[in-house]
Amino acid sequence: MPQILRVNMSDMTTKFEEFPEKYKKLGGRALTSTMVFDEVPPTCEPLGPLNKVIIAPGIVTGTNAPSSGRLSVGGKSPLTGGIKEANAGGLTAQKIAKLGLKAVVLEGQPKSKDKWFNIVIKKGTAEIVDANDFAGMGLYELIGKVWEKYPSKPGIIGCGIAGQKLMRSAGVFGNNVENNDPGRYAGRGGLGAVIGSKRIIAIITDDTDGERPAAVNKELYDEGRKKLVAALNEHAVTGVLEKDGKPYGGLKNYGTNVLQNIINEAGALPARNWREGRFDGAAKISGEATHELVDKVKAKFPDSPAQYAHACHPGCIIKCSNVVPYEDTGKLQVSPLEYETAWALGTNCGIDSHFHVSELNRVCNDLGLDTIEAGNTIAVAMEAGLLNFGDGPAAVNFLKKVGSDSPMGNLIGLGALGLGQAFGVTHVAHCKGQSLPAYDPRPIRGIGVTYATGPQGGDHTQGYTIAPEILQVGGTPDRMDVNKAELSRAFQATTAFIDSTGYCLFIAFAILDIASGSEGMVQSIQGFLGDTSIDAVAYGMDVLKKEREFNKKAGFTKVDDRLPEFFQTEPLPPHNVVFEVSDEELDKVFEN
Amino acid sequence: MIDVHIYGLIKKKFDPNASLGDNMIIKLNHHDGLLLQDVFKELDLSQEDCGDCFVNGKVIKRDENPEIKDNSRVAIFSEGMYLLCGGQHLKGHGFITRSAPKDYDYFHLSSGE
Repeated sequence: MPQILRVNMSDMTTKFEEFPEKYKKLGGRALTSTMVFDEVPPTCEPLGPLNKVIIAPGIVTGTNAPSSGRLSVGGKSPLTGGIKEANAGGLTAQKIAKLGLKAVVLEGQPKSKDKWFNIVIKKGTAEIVDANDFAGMGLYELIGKVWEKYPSKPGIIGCGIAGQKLMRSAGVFGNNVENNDPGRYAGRGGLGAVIGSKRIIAIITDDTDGERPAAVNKELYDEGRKKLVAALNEHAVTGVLEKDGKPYGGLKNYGTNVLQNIINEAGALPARNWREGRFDGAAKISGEATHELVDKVKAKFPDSPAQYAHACHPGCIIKCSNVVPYEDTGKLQVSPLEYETAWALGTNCGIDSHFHVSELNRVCNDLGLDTIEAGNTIAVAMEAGLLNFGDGPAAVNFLKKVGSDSPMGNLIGLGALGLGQAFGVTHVAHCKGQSLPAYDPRPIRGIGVTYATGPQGGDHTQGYTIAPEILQVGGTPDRMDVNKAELSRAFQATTAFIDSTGYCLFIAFAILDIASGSEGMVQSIQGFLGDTSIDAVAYGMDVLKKEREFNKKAGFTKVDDRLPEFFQTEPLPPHNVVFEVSDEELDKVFEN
Repeated sequence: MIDVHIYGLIKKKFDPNASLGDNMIIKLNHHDGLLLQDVFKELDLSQEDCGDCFVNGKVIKRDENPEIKDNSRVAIFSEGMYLLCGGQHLKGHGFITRSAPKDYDYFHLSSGE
């Protein structure tokens, strides 16, 4: 029988509960958002005892469905003040699922600030253990020490120094498959600080004696799973590494950072704190540059962990991750280096050094920071004159202040909006207080609608409308068109469904093109749950409605569904356009 | 003149020592009526060797052959290098397994459709 594990940090107890019937169709984001809606007072202090952290694997996580090992982490965000779901790969989601747990709930708060704790979850048991030895420790060291102490190779998630200091830009880290990098981040929205507010550093999950969750209708589940595997392998974006002796799958060869040059060519790559739409140094920090570095280092150091086509969790067949090596030693520098991270810490800061961008990423991973928030914060600091655009070494030193006793570190930890307010910079790209990622909404307006109206704050993953817009197809005018409400709503709903399944959002690339792939994905969910009435879009809309309702009760109004003024007044070169979507159009997204 | 930005492994065709992490810009003379296919021909490139192609910030579909104006910026990516999105079939990359959907229903997941 599936269960929920509750860890109460007020009375220091743990309790296994039967998974409620009313939640039986829910997983991942649907479950975290529903439980936050049901259990967290919308107006509560995000870093206080009434907020909760809900940790949930997706519906088919833990099964042999391809690329389905995603973990959702939910709560009230200290960065946006609204509901939040952030998700990641890593080891923990599948291990929680194999232990028969649908969710782990962290609630309450110790009165004493003297102690730190880890949570150790095993088959049928959960313990709150003293963790003062881990406090203030860099996360590369921490994950190594945890595996020394627990030889079963557990999944580890939690917060780093940034979260322990209750910084709004603190993400939730996760160890990778090899346990050599804590870079599997549910990064956005400051949920790392919520974990820190409960005096928890790490949640350690050992799935010894666990079992794969079983499908109710195994035949339908298997049929769907096989169709999805075939589609993922066939598609040019998610497909195999090589075909006919030539590079094939874009994600396996170049990772998500294949986009660096592509979005640059589209003229939609925000550069130097969102002042320009192209960056001359894009190629140097691109996925192609990483691919070449990996090949070069592997030739020199055959035992180097350097890799592209790297899986973010066991069973992922998309393998968009990578392991970036130090060129001079072959040792791991960081894993992974993704597009939005390379953009935030590179392009947006005018930094074109692959080494320094990777090092900044490593600092984020070590301290427990969201890379998108950190990059935007550095760019705002550059705009404030605290350091110069393009100065990689200075940016590394600046970011490291987060881990020091310097008050500047606390300001950096506030995120881009907070630092901007401290230094009088109003040119801050955010929505609901959360920094925007690597696609400028002036030339790509649908993504601007998603940024503005999505319940999660500025976040591309909640409705990735890049596809139809850059393509300029399907009977609509081009991406400059301003009637984007329907487009954004459809993508937001579908995304909310995929985020609930446990499947990686990147299966979307294949299921958008290959009809049998999308059919297979839905069949696998219907088969697993034993319910053929599941409608993906309707399911996703239900999730969005709950999230919007939570935000409304937290005090959000239409005014919060807007982008900063400069997007409407400052044309972005080279297309020299502004964000012209009207407030009325933005309000149409969820008006019914 | 027009600038042609080359990305990915096809760089090696023009310079075997070229780095994938550096810009490669080939300057071509412009003439009235210059078409995109003329650019491919002049560079001795086949579209099948290429992924996405942009002209002045706009994705060009495989079946399009637009006129290239003077001072244009053309970008050609190697095979396997695409804008990360569904919709490759709509760009003519040969992954056609469904007809062009409505603009907002790309996933075709709603049972009501």
